[in-house]
Amino acid sequence: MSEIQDIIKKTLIKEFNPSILKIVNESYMHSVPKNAETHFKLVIVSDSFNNVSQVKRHQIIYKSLEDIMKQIHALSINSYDEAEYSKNPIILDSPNCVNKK
Amino acid sequence: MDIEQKLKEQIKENPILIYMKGTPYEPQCGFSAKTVQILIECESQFSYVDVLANNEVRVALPKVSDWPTFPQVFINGELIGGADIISQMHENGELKSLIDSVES
Repeated sequence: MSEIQDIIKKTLIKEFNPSILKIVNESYMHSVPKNAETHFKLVIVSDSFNNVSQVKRHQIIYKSLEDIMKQIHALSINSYDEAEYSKNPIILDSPNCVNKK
Repeated sequence: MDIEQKLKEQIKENPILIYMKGTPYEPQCGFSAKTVQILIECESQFSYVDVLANNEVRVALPKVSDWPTFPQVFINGELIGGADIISQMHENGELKSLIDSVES
């Protein structure tokens, strides 16, 4: 059961041809049903991000996932171009939902 | 004035502005909590809008900013980012420099 994760993966590969792509389903960290697909974290490395600002990268990633964004609550994005990633990126931890019981 | 125009004015008028879920005192989402905490740590004088209490804003802002999720942080009228970008800029010191430049 990882239908949404699959769509995210296929879309991003098609749009950005990434050299590294990690998609983590972090829904378990939030107050949602078991096996939910609501919160994801993304690490994406692609040369299509060369000379593109962080805000713009997020915007084009969100845009490519427009239909999916309507179905999920959160998509945490860590995007790098090849040069940035080779300089030892910081992979940030996503925060737990404050309402998680 | 329609809501999108109002939002543009609001963004222009408030040098440091966060649209978040909940309030700085009672954030209702981990990403909003983390982001607002960083703004507080940077000793910034910011304004906030609780989008859970303003559904109109919650619906309209993503169209204005081209950004579908919350929180959203604007500094000097410009979208700086959500929780991920604010966290990165906090780690590398860029955020504090930006905030200090607004308030000096």
